[in-house]
Amino acid sequence: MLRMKRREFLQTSSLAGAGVLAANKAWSLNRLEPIGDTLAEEYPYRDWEDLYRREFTWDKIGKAAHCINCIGNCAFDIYVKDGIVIREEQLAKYPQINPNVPDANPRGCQKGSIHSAAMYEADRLRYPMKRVGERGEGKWQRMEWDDITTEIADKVIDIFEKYGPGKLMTHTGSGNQSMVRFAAPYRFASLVGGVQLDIFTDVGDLNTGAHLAYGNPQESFTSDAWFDADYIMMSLLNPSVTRIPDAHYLWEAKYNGARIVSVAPDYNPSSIHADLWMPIKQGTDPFLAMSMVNVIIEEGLYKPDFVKEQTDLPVLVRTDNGKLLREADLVEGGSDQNFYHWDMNSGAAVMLKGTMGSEEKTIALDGVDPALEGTFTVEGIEVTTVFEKVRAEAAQHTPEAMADVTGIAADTVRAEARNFAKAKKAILMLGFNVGRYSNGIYTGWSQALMLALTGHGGKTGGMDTSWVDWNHGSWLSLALYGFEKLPRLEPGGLGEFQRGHMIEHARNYYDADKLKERVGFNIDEMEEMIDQSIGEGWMPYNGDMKGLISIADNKFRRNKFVDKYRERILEEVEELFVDINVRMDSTAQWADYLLPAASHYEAWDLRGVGFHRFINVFSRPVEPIGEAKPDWDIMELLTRKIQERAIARGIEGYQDGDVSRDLHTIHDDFTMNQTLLTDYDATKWLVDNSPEMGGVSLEDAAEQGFIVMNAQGGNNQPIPVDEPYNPFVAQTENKKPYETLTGRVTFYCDHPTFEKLGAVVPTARHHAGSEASNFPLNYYSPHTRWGIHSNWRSNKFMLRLQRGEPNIYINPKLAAQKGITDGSKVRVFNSAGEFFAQAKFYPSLPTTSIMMEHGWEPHQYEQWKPMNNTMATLIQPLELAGGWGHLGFKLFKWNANQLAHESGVDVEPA
Amino acid sequence: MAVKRQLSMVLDLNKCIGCHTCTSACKLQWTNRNGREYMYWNNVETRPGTGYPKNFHEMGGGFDQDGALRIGKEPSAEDYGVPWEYNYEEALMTGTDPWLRPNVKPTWGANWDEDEGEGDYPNSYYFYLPRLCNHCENPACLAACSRNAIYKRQEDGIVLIDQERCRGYRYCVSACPYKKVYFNEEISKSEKCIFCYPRIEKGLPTACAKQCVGRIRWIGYRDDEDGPIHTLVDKYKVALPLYPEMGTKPNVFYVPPLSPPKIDEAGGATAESRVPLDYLESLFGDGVSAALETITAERAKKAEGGESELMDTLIGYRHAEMFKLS
Repeated sequence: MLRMKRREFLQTSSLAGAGVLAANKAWSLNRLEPIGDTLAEEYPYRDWEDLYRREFTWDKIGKAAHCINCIGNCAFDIYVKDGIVIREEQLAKYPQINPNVPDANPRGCQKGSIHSAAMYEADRLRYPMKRVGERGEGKWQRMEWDDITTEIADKVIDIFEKYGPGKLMTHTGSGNQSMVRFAAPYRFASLVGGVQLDIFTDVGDLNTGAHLAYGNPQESFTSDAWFDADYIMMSLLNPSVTRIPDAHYLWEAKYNGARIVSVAPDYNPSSIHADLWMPIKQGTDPFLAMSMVNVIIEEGLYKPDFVKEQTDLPVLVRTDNGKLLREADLVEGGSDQNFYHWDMNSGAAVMLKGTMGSEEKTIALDGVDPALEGTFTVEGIEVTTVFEKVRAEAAQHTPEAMADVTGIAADTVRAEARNFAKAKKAILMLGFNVGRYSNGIYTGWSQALMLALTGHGGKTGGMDTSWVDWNHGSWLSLALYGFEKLPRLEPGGLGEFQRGHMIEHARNYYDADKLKERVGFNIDEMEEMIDQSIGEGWMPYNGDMKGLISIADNKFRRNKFVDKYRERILEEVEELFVDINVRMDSTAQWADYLLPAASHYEAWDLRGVGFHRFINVFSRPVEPIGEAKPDWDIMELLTRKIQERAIARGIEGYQDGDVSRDLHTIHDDFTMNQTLLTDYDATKWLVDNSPEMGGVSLEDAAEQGFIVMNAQGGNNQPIPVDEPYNPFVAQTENKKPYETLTGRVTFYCDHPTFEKLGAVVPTARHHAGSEASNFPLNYYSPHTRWGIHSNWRSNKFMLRLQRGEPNIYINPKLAAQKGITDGSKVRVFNSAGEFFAQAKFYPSLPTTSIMMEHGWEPHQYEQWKPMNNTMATLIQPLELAGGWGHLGFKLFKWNANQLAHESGVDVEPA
Repeated sequence: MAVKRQLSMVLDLNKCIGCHTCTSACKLQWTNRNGREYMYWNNVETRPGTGYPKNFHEMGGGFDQDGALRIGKEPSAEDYGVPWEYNYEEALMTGTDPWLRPNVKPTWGANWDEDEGEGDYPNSYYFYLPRLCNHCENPACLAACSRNAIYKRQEDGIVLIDQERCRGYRYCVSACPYKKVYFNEEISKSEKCIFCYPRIEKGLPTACAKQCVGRIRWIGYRDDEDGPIHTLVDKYKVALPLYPEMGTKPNVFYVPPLSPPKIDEAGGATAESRVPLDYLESLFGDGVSAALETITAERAKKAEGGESELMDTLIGYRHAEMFKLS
């Protein structure tokens, strides 16, 4: 009876108080019935279930990924209701490439999964605004787009009028990684000749050791290529935290039989699933790698066939001056880019094919059997081999001698070297932190040596450098104005260091003698080598700027010595500082003009950068919030105003070297004569003109949410249709030369800077760390799982799953010594600065280090004192080398990093 | 089994990376609104640790040895963690607050002891434990409800609180030994994980499982002998319930974690696993040792080039096939 009438009864009970009483009585009697009633029988009143069903409804679903400086690149469905994005969910429809390899689904992470909440937060920029108080004071006035861009246009023209070209920085930070959002400001920079820093090195992301060895640090594995490895060692990398969408391949490889080793100073979230964690002393990675090289050579674990063909180890070196034997040494007018083997078949020196000086583009030995060992005489010059030099250096790094340095027992190192050497496919994974240590170049180089000696290259393994560079020719052409005019491209770490006058602060911070002992140079010597590099033209530097247009960059967050850096930059760009941004970050707060950009779900776009072969499509699921505009449209409008004002002011082109900066036609040029006016136009142009996208239409791509790149997406070699992408297969299988001086994996560099620093072959050096300072604790700042740099770092949904405010990590024993309790406020300090944060206990950290994940916005710290004030930095002079084969300024490939882990600090209760 | 069919989930702790994508997916799917803001129907906790809500395992609930219901303690707002708000407008837009900060001093949160664990460097240890409602075979919440407002759906065994009938007595909150029922003060009713039945009914896996980027979750029916749940729970017995002694018979199961060896004073690897077996058994019962041995043995088969149905299942070659919803 109750079952039939309850609904009806509830309706009447709301009308009559007596009914409520009766109902309660009825149900309280029911309480005495056995509980099996609702457990084992069909529950009678289920209409209410529509309540939650109604919450799972929407008007439409759009497509997007997240255009941000993580390389995840994950396709999402965007659920829209009443014009508002209510949630997002991974598309999870990527096709499986090979039945024996797990598919790429679902990808994504917690940040992407809450962006629909972040995009409506009060820190979003919704309207164009002009500063009305002092810089940084927080007083703003709304303006109309037309007016604000006209004002900015006039100021840009003023800078050209007063100072000529080359005084405007138009830097796009690492926040714009999708094709159209990247291309718009780069195309603008190309047209005005603006300064654009290398976004790898300005945050210290470049694996320079990999470039030194392989001539290409961006040729790496798709993450699915980890799966069939049987040995993986990760250093300076915590993929469970920083490669969230890809990490599953690692743990699936483990189930597939791979041995996984984590090398890290803390027992981190990736170490917990490894077969072995090596608790390495912070910054001693090159010593560990060299000790493994020692085992590989001394125990004869190397593979001579691979070494002879793929590396420069059999190349001849003069014993008199330590220089490579060059054609120029033997032949009048000979090339200095041709080199020799000692052929054991003919008993004579023979010139290598495939070098930068060679016409023959192959590294095939063709019957030559080059000697790896020995001393020979070539036309009266005594020579030996690179291998002999490498072996002599490695001999100084026995595991027994290195155990005290690295903290890893010799037996464990020997066992691991053997496991690694015998693996069929071994991968050494290096995270971006390798670029943030002054000795990272040694780590990368010596690990490349481990791999090369043991024959791990191409399909048998290699170095995972955490980046795969795909072949998107049309994208680059769109961004760089058909390569007809270029921005003033500049080394990232060096540009920031010079422009921010960081050398003064470094000189004040470091103890000169201790520094030299640790890293092999002091500040004065470093300064000389910087001056030499700029003077010789190895690295370009454009000097002081007058104006700054900053796009998707948080430079007043990410730079070291950061408040002093900010003061200096603001002084320099006194005339103009425009910030184009989606939200009020710690850089936008200091701008003169704020232009609000559309966020991920508010513009048409494509994203190719990623650890996989899928180009994700952004279908503009909703219109930009407030008066925000897509980056393309902002640049379209800004160039329109510059052109209008230039014509009105009677201004034509400015000669700038070989090109002219035609402000009076800049809108026509930017838009390809009025054809690319919107984000949609630019997106469609890319789809229609990119062969790697296979001729798909934008409509179909937007429907599917992604495009599968075809074979042409590979740079070094085609992308195999049904196999994961392994790097340098063209070299190992087809004998294509590497893009290095000798055409081979390089382990000898006779560049003067390398000679000066005693680094002609891979070796080990310390980073600066606390021992180069007068402060007792090491200090490092890895990436966090809770943000991508400063993106989502201040999001409340993410903060509620952390400590709610900036926190350091500290070992409880160190905390006890210092009188610090979990959750209490501490002061972290050194002579460069101080900051306050909450202490979080982390027993997995050594007592000698403080760890603080990076990316907190300066405006999240008490008194607005950010951690980067305590971060001293240096330049590694080796990374400034040029004029030597593959060493010389190369965007995203070779220039000096901004270093992050080079300081010491102390901590106390606050 | 009391119901006609029972949906079930297996979570592999060897693959969980603690990224909280599941938590975030659930948050936006269900609990970022309507008085649910403080709730995490799905959460991820670091173990060993206090868990979420704070020290929930010490709050009692479930059934005693004789099958009698035990009413436990109700967590306080502090035990769950206060969902802090932030002064974005004042700190960043109007310049009226000096810096961005939470509206109350943070002293506890749902993930407060993240990555902390136990032990001394270098032999510390921890792992991640994602939790949701266990949709128990013998739910303590259901037994405790004096309104008979909690029921198991016969077609899939999902445990639901009738939102029309619930009067917010909160006996369910106290009785659930997993503390996975939450009281919504705004509407004076209790709410909990609904196993995303509106999604399940459309043939979609739960948000936490579909969006799990570690690919650690399988969903299927307990009675499907060709499904992943049967393979992992019944056939290889590598997936175990959490706190089985609480007597509720959970339908969520966990593959317990392996761990790397301890390190000796010289910095060398020993033969001893870091996470003590005792600790794992305190969570997942007596089956842990056999489960870890099975995983290790099957993995060795793969390493030697052999076949292993168990490893292939745990690898999960096709994401879509990790969910068998019919």
